[in-house]
Amino acid sequence: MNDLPEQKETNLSFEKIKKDILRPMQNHKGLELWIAFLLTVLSVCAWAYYVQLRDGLGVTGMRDYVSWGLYIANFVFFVAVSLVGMLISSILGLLRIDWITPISRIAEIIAVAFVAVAGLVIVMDMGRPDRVINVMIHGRFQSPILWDVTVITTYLTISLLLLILPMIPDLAICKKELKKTSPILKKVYNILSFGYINTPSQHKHLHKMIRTLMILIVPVGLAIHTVTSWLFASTLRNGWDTTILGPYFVAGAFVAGAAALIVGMYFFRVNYKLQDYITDLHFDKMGKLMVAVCLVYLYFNLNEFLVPGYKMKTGDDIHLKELFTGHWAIMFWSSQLLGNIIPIILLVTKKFRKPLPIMIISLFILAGAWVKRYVIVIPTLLHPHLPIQNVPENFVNYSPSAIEISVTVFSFALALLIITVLAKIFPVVPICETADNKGIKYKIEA
Amino acid sequence: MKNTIKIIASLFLLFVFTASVAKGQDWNVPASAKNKQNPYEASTKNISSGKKIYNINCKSCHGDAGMGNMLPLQPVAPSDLGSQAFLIQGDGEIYYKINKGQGAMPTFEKTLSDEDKWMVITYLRSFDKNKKESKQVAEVVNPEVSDVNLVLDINNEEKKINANLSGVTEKGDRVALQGIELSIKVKRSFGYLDISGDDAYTNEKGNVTIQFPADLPGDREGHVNLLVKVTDDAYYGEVSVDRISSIGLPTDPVNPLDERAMWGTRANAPIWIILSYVGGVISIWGVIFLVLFQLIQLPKMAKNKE
Amino acid sequence: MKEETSNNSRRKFLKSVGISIGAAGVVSGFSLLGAAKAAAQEPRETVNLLTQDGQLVQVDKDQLRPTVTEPLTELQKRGREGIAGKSFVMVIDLSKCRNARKCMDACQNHHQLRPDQHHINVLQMQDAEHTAPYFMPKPCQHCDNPPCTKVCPVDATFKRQDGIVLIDNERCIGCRFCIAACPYSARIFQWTEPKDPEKYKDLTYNIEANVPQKKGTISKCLFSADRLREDKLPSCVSSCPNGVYYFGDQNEDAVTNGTTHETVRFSKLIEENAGYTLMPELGTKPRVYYLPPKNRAFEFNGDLLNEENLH
Repeated sequence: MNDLPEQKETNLSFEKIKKDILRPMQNHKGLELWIAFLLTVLSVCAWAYYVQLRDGLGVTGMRDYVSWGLYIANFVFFVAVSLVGMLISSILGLLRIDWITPISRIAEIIAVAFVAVAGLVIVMDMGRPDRVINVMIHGRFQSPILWDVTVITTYLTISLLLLILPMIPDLAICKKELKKTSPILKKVYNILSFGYINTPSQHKHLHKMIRTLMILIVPVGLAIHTVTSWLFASTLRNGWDTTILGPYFVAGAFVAGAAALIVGMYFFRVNYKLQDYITDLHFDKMGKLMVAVCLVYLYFNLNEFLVPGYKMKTGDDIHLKELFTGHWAIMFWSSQLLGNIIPIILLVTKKFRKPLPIMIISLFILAGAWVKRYVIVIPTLLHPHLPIQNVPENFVNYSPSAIEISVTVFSFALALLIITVLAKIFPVVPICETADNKGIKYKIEA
Repeated sequence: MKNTIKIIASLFLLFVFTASVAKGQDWNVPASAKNKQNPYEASTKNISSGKKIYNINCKSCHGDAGMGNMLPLQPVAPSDLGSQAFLIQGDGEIYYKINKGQGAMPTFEKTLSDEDKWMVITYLRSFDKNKKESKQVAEVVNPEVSDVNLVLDINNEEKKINANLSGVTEKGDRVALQGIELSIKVKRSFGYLDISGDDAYTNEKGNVTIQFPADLPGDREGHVNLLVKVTDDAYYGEVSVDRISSIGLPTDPVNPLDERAMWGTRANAPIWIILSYVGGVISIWGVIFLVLFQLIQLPKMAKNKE
Repeated sequence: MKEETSNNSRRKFLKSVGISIGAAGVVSGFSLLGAAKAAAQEPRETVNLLTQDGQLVQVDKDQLRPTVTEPLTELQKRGREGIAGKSFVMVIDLSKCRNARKCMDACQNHHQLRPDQHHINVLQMQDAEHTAPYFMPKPCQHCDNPPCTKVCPVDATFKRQDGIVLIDNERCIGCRFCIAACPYSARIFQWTEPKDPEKYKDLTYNIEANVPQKKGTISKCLFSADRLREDKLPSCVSSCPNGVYYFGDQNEDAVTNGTTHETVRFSKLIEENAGYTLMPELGTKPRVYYLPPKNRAFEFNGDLLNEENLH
């Protein structure tokens, strides 16, 4: 990965970088419209959640057997996507792979948005959200939920820090440059730039902190996925009761996270006109990375399904038959083929690693990743050890209700809104780091 | 009184009959089965053991024989098995019905032995006013007594319980009462465990001796609550003695909450998991706070530029 | 001489105790009949009450006497502690079950449940393709290695010293992790407002009956812990007409049949009848034992024979 092709944009000056990156933050009509649209969607869907609060979770499609449904599938998906922060800015950053510099902030923004919404989704799935504080008061160390809540909060904190800390020099620039911005934002820039003027000691100090956090986020990032997988693996149900679920979730999260990042990169490149910073090269590199993580995920999928499929143990047999050839076959195979196998084949070819094709492929991977979460959660619950009897018909099947879908839309819209707002008030591409990378000298005035 | 019972019983029978006709599920007792005769004699012992079996297997639906307190089940209510209307049938017919069952009435073909079934029939026959042999044949005739006394003698070492039944005759002598069945029971949470065995009849000295089961648990000190009574109240009214004795097997109740366990409450969590959690949180958040602390230092560094 | 008299008085005392017990039996017998009669009569001014044994009854208003109810904190405290020295077990004799469902009715009455909400559910089972189908009542197994209490994040569901697994719906956050964890599908969730909320709204919450039920919380079989406190058998056990259930204290090695009231040795019962537990391979160590459906009292009449009813 170190074979960096020769740089074409050597004629970039610090002033130009600054101008290019700060421009969409000042004046972007489309962005404001988009935010207004998201706010409308959010307020409509918030009403759905209000109905759920008022009438109970009975307004969803969930019942006593399928007691976890769409929400938990969404939760797992959000958690998975959020791993991109750790993958890009931490693992690759620690390995000193420097092509990630322009996209690392997008990765962190996605991570922060998705992990924050993941935490919220869990609360939205609760029967008594008013008692969420009980987890703090009465939290049991033996319950994966306490660990999950802890790890999600920790991951959110570290991700926020990893978003803000490398941004401090850029914010110092924002403070100086963005004269016409609102007083509140000015205050935010003022506080968050921590009086940074790029003295050698400040620079050294800052990078030491960032490096500490990069190391710290690795165990926390692994933990968030492993603990989330334990929500399932700690039960005695067919399909969940497997020891590889932890690493399987981590591998799947790399895939989902990388795909989300590629989609994000594409949209910012096009909408923010950042072609000079998020280049074809980055998409090419991300494509190669995608093939690598998809192959790991494929390997885990083989283990996850081939081994029990070979034995067809009682309980596993119905579950696997339903997945392979039964009711869930279309969802299962489309998630495997469109979400994993076909992308691997396509992305091996260079022309599919161009921005538009790889963005479309990534959309498929993301959709496949979501479908995969859905077929991890629901089919298992439909095949408990003992037969489902003497209950109404809607206990035996599961399909999400309109309320459930609206609340799901709410969570996705909220994640997008957080990303949009963060990208509106903060520079999505690091200004100073990009300059550093290109060996351009710059000065930050107090 | 008799008449009302008869009327009620026949009304009941009528109801049962119509109901069964309506449902088309009459008992079709084959002729060969009807001819079967009870091979057991109507002795006190047999009647008594029949009553015990009846109480366990039949009473929950049919109520007390002759009392008319059956369960009001739908669509076919159980009959009073002590009523004349029922006992008009032959032994073979009753035997057949016990064996086969119908609707809510279970089949006892395999759950009761042949002997047990005949004992029940013997017991039911004791309510039959038309049968001469239904007169209870007492094997031993005890004199008329008053002030019946039941005395317990418990040998804790050998785990033997001896009960003695005696009464005072008209002449004022205390004499042993012979051939009377006693029930020796141990109190448990929801009922009494009968440990009398098959042959708990007083001997000529008025004694019954039984072996207490060696493995039957008592409390921590082996205490059990014993109840000995004359099985049939019809003889002398209710005669019983209860006694707390340390004849049981001393048993320490196991408290599952004594040990720390994964399934236990937070207070009972395994030490290692508490340490892992607390240790993990402290170290990770320690570093986070360290970074935050360093972050606050950042503005100061701008001043000492040189 | 003095001893003699004291002995006498003791006997008299015992006698009186015996009579009063007998009388109580009669009263309960009559009260049943009385209730049946009352139901047929014209309705007068009545109120709905929860009796001590957990049945919801209608009572004439003028028959009411003020009673002292335990405060919530006391109920919670004793409910969480459990009954010292006890170790409750249930034995279910599958050869006696004919799917009468009296257990389910009694349970739903006791615990404020709708007809489709089951703390206990009578399932039609068939273990393999050619084996004989049978009815299997399935309450909570009150496991000694309970997967449900392991995963609860807030100690809302927990095991007490007497072996019973309870749920505290004053604390439950409704995450439903315990439902996912239970391999016996023994838990239910109050997806909507529970049955008859108006009737129950003034009752103090009794954790041992999990009544009143609350929207957004879990409910489950509790072995009728409130009845056990009064030495009464669980609702399902005492309502069975066919002698299916035995219930008792393993420390005493005795179980009592709810129908016949016969008390037998627990160890002998499961030894002589090849008693087993459900899915022992999962290591949950259930406290509910089953006796196999051999020498049945009733023929199987379920629809499993005709329908594809197994999921």
